[in-house]
Amino acid sequence: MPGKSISDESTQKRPQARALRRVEAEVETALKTPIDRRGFLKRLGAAGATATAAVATGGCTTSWDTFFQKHYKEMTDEDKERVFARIEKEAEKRFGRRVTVSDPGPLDGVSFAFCISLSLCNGNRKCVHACVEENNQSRNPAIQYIKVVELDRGTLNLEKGTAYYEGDSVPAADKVYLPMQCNQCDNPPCVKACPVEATWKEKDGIVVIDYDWCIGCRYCMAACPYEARRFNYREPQVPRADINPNQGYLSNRVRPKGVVEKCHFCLHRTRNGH
Amino acid sequence: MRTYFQYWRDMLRCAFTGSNVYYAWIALLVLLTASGLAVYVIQLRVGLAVTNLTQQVSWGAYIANFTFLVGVAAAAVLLVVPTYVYHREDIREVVLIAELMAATAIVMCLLFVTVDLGRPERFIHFLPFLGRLNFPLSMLAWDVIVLTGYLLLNLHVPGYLLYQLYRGRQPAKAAYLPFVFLSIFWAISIHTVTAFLYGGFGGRPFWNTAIMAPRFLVSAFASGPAILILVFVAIDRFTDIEIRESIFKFLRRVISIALPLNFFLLGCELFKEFYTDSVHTASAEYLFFGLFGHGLLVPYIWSALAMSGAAIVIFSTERLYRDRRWLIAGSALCVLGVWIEKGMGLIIPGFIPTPTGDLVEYTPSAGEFLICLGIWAFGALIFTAMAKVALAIQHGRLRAQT
Amino acid sequence: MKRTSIQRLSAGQRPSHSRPRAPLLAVMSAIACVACGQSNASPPALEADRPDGRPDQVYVSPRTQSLDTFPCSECHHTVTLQEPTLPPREPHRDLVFAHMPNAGHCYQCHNRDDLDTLRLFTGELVSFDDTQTLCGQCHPAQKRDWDWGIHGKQVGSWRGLKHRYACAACHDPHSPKRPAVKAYPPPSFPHFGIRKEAH
Repeated sequence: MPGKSISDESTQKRPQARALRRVEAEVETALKTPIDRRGFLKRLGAAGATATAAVATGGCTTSWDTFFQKHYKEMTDEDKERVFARIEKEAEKRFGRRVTVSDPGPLDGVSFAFCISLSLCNGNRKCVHACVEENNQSRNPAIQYIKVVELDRGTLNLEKGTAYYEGDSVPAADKVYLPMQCNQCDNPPCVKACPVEATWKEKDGIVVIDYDWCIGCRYCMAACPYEARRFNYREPQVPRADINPNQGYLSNRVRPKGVVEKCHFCLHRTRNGH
Repeated sequence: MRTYFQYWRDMLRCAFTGSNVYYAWIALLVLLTASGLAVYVIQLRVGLAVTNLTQQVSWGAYIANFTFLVGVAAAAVLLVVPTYVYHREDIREVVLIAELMAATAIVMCLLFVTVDLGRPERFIHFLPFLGRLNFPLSMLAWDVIVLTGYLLLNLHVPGYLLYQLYRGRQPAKAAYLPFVFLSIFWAISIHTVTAFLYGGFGGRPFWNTAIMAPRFLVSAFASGPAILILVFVAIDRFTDIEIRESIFKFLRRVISIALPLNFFLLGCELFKEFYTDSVHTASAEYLFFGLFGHGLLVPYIWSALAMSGAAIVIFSTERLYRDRRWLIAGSALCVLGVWIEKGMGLIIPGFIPTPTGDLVEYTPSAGEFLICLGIWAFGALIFTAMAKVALAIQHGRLRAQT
Repeated sequence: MKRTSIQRLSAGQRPSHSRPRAPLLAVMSAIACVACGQSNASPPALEADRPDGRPDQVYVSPRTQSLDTFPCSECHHTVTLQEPTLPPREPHRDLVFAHMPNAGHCYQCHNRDDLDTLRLFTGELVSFDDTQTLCGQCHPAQKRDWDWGIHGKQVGSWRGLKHRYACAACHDPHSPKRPAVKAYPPPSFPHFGIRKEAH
């Protein structure tokens, strides 16, 4: 069916093309420089790209060091010292607090476990807030590793439970409370899911995350059957006075935005015997 | 070498010159792409908080579009097989367009994944030597490999053939045919791997089904041809190139089989969900009926089913599909229906309710919408440019200066 | 070590890493606690599994350090009441008795002849720092769990010194049922959240 042709040079002679050339002439006069149409577009594109890059990198917290930082498992001791020193410096700059970043390794012959007595839990959520204070989690938006679900007594049907119970007087009659956090699974779906091995299970059973390696794809969050993982949708906000200065690289140091975090079994404490 | 530079110069010139309608189209796409990019820059600064994603619903519009587009990319195989296996010469005329559409779809997929990442600058963690790819355990690692491979295949084959045509040479079979056959199997694999992304999680019972991969493939074979129909109608209408009726007939046939099959597989899934009526049915219940009186997705999924149903009627009724306008309508309904059912209607309910029973709905924010629109516009832009160039070369309008 | 808010929970308890003020008493309590095996089942083989073979060290907060009205003999030089009745007078007027309602007999646990000690059903005397032996008479399951460190509060090191709290640190022996408390506020309800309760 007849139609306009694709790359026919005769379009130059059409009245619309003449109008376009007139517009170009006006713009030329306005800019006071001759326009080469293709060059104009190219320059516009380049200017746009530069402006974009400038604005984008203005909010970027990546430097050369961090861009090429190795995975935790590949870091030598010197690498780790450098990285921890950088983190401590950044913390001082950002929060005005001196912090120490440690890296306790798994202990020989130790495999961690933890138990919660569901008969005794009364849902007061003090564990939730103690965890938040210990682990430097963002207060705004609020990230809490532990989720306490209030269920009707006699059922474990989470569909009928709620984590948002007000709790004016707990335990409420005929309710049981189920605190949930990362269960440090033995065959973790999140470890299988992570495309870059940013999360893995350590020798002592703790499933850890290298926050400087995580790309923030949130595939692990989709994989977790316990909804244990949290994502930093923004730069985490932690009040200066509430920073816990005893920090671990794989545990409770203040995370950057755009990475996933979760309960890490307080390895900066448990691996030191506490 | 010099000819190769001339080739690029000629291609770019061809891509960016045309009629005023063409200019308007390109201008619109550039504008939409730029607005998407502008919002993405904001997302880079603020973080993914510009979206409506939450701790409970951590994947949304970006991944929904990604999932749909992987299917569109896989659908190129539907024209590759008749051309190279059954030697249908009429389809051979347009098979390069289909392969270029597949490449475009993969580029859009990669863009959607990039805008979804919290730390996109850490993409180097995927690469060998600099990174640590969790292959073969992570399905996302598989996806990165197969998508990149499929992109390279679908850039090499049309690229090689078009360059040889441009040079006026006969293409060497050994240089492209093995890759063509590889791409046939590879096309199945990309959508299977993407289905396995979801199907392997016991904690998400809405996704944890064996027919995830078959459902993905069947809906891809419905929506891909529908998009191709729309593209060919546009080529037919806006250029002086004629697309044969036999090509439309072939695509219609595929859709008229794939769409009812899609319904059947969906029916199997719904039977399992609602007959068993276990606790795990909550996500399907949310999608189709809502939970506790809330169901943002309910009108969408039902209209998606209605649209697919209407498309089946159109593609089965000769009186209707012979009319170009009904054909366009049917194809558009098919694409929209599958997009809703396999995009938002698949990803979002997987997170509602969460494993701890939390119920949080999701709808894309304005920022997400603009970024998605920007990526779609960018895809349309590069596809328009590539298709225009490909058609020009195929029809002898672009040749190397000897 | 930074104090966490856990440590503000119960009255009379001590911060987890401070040194005991009465070392001899603490050591005696510790040895008594570890050696005392009033339950039928023995604790899990913690000692055997420890790589260094050392038994767990448990320090139990002495109740006598945190009771305002101890020692009783400071006020009660002679005991005149044969059968004490409730409610008591000052300074014990705020004492509420809601324990073993059928008993109601103070001298079931208190020793009339020496108010600074407590007595078991057998007539044996125990110190106020060894309330767990007394409570364990009627509550052997809880006592067994407490011996294993899984009932009540135990903080400290999982492989070293543990700090355990006596029964009376959390349970008022006269009305031991733990009261309902006010919970911390819930997490902020998501913008697109769905409420499950009917309004």
